[in-house]
Amino acid sequence: MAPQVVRIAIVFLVVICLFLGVRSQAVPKGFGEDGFHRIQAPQMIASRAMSHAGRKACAECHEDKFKVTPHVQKGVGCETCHGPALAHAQNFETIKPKVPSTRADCTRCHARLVGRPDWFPQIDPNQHNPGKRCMECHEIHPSE
Amino acid sequence: MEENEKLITRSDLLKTIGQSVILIGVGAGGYAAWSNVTSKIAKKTTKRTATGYPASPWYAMAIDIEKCIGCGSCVQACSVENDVPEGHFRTWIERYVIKEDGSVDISSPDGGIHGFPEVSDENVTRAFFVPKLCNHCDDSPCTQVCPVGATFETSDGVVMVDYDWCVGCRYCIQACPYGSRFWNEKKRTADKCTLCYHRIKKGQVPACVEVCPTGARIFGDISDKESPVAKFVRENATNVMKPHLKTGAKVQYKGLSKEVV
Repeated sequence: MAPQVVRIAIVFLVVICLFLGVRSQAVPKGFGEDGFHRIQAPQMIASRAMSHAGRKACAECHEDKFKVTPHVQKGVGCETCHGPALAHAQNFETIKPKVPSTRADCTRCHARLVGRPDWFPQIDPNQHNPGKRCMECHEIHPSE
Repeated sequence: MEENEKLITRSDLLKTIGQSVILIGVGAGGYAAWSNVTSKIAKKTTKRTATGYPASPWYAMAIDIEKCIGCGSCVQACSVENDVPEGHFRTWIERYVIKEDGSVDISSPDGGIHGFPEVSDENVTRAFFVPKLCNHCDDSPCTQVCPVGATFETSDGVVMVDYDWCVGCRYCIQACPYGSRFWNEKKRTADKCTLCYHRIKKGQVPACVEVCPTGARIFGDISDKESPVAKFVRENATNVMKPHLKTGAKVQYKGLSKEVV
């Protein structure tokens, strides 16, 4: 074989070996085994902490409220009104969830609004007992 | 003498054969290594299980537009659950107001996180709310353009960002036809809805689904015929957004109006 062919072959070999060497260091272990991504990425994202407990967790202590609350019976979750409550579920003596009390807490859903479907119960906050707290007439968690 | 110069000696011949064998060997080895890598990447997209979906579970969401009241609970819950920086949204709500003259007003003040302002109902023919989020496309433009494999679809059908691997080039933000991605200043990476992967893997539903007061959002494993989402999609006429793009979007909408973009 001509010497120049041998020399170019050696150059190619060195470049290929360099590329493979760098690649083996730069590409993380397991990359590509479950799609074009780091194999540990889904697991890392899945291990993040939650902040909403979910209604099943609420029912463990507050089953009595579930039975009497019309909202719950219509499918509304506790955390829709009370906010994220996982911290409360894990530490119920010291951390208390939000207790809605203002008109705005109710009108967020129940004020008449363009776009809100007709089947949904709505009031005009300017006409419907203005200034009065909703809970004075409407019991959210009736006691039986 | 002259004839001798033209002849190949035995040792020269052996040398040439030896060198050729080494070169062919190196070439074949390189090809094998490369095809090993590419076949691992390709294998995922080709298979389909008996359920008709590539894997089980295969997560999906359905949205009943007729049930959305535009309260913004989902946007609030998402922001808290996922520590979304102010001014950015993994999910948001748009209001479409269609007037008698045919004009369409589309608005989404702060993503609808504080609800929507009162507007006059004069000359309004039709109005509705549309909750939006990442469509978790099975053939998504965003994962195709990521140069480092930091955005990807999991084997259970969720499109996510590997925050420790993203180099922040933002191609994916430009590529998404639904505007579902944003630049997260805090993380210095692209960011988007994960379908609350950290919740669904613990048996919970995404935060937006948990707090939706009217059940406008339905979530589940669509490869399981008994799951809420599979039932909903089976029993109702649904469609995905921008079906002509063939992104393989997994968020199915009921009551999707032609005005929705």
